[in-house]
Amino acid sequence: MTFKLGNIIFSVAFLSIGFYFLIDTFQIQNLVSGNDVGPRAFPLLVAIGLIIFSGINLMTSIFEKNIEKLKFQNFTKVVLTMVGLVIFLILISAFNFYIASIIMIPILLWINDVRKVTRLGFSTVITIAFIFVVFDFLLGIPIP
Amino acid sequence: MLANLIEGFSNIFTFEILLMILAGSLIGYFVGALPGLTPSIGIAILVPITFGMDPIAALVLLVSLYGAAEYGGGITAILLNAPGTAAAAATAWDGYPLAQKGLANKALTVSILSSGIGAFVSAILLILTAVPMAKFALNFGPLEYFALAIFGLSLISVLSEGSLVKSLIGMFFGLVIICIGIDPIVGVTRFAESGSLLGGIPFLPALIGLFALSEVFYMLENTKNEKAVVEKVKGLGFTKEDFKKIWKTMIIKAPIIGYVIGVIPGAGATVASLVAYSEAKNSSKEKESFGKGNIQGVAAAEGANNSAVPGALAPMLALGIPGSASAAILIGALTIQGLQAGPKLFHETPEIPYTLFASLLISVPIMTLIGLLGVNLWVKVIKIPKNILAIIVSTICIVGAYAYNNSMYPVWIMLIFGILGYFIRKLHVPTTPIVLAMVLGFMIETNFRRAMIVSTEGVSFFFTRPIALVLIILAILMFFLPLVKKIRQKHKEQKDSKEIQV
Repeated sequence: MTFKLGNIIFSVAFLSIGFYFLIDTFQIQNLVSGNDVGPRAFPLLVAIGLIIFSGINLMTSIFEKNIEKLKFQNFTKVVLTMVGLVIFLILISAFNFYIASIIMIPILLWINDVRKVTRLGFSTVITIAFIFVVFDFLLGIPIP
Repeated sequence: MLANLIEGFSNIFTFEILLMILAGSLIGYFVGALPGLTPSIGIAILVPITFGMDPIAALVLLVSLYGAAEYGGGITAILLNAPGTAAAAATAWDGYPLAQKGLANKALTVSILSSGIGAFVSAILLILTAVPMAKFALNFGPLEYFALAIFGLSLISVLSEGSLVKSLIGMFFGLVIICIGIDPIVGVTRFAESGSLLGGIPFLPALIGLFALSEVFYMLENTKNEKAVVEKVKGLGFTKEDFKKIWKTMIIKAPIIGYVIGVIPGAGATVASLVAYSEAKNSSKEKESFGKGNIQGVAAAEGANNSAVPGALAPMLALGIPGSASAAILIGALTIQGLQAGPKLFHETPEIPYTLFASLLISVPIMTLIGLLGVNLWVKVIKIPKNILAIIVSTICIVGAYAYNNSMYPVWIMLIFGILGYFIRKLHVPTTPIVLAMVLGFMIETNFRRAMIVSTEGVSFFFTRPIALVLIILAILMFFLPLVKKIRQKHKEQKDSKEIQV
């Protein structure tokens, strides 16, 4: 993917977010008292700002002559890690943090080239132990 | 002030606070030594750990980390020519040539001592300036706070590296998402009818995602570690003659330059180290030796970048304005503790800022000692496999985001912002404007509307308050300054190219 195309996708995405918020702004009940501008004014203003600057970026990107490529190194691994993290969160919701960690930390490490079983096991145990000791045991912070 | 400071010192000498200074320093060195992990990322990762802590302990831990991370960046810059932080880049210019000459011990001693002395002098300057600043700001009403927040937001133009338009998109995106939830004045819902969204987009999990998790994805792109073999550093290598040569830079010039630049929101440690380095070079009789291993260059760069840390705390503590990403995260950490950065912090809970001041003074010698004793250990940090570290950091991010309100909603927010942060950074969209907008947006809207409610003459009310007016004018100038600079630069480039053609 070129930098130009990436910029166009980015601009369109943020332009859409701007329009979504702009349209939704009119659904806000505008309770106004005295000189108060009401709850609708600020979101309206910032949604318009987002649209304007995303539009400017879109136009400059379309007319951009530079076709420099966007550099993504090890992109498959990065995307797989992102997907792995989504599954990690689903497993936490379904079971709990410790069970999800025992399953997902080795998988995430394996995706990222840690292939030795001892390293996988050791890193998983160290991570879980660290979380337990620091968050749960020492600071009393609840673990999911 | 003195009585408060004495009370601050009495709060410091407890086992818990001293432990926080030690832990913050150790983690800070670790974060600073690792290229890729910046002080702001370190603070973002550590903030969730502070949720259950006493506010003073939490702040001391985070500020100790902030300071030590700036110190740590210089160690790998000197030994491996791999600056751990951007601010340590200038340290490498003279530090690495010194190490190549076999004088690594001398360079490290100069760097750590300059850092320590710089931070100490700067902490004193912070105490002397932040208190009057906060006292002055006590007279502020909603209108002044609105103007102050607008001024803070205008710094985005200074903080933006690269495209101003992209920074502004980030800023408006941050402002839009803080509108989600319940309106702060009349309580009607905005963009959310029910469920978790009613509480809005939680700031800290979003920030952990934008800074820490997006960096994890970057780490995974290149997991190769530094292979340089560094000989064990022995002794201090620092002589009386060396001290005579650099004392002015170390004790006076670098701390003052660093502090002043640190106070200017948006400038930060990197600019401070570059300015101090350039000053040291220009005022030196041995200009040609800079870049080839001059200890004055190391002293200037390291002294200034560490002095910028207390400098950055001044507008944050006294006015509630974050001048950097790290300061914005610290404001978030204070908010979680139920505290509001700004003059009220000094007025209502003086023990917090004064204990922080005392902790800065006490932590500097501790950090310096840890730095000097642990040099050989910090260098090994760079060899920790990045792929393993990245997965450990992402797991900590998950637990940290969950701790925000003991639900999975902030964890999903953290993940979404982490992925968003990774992709937008690829397109050179800075993440700092999003964070600044999320911190200041609420302040802007509520204070503007409060000001309008109490005013009788509508918007013209703004022109009757001189402080607010000056701040608004300054904000407008801040926004347009980079544009004017760019236009002038373009004109100059066009002129130069025409001259070349002729």
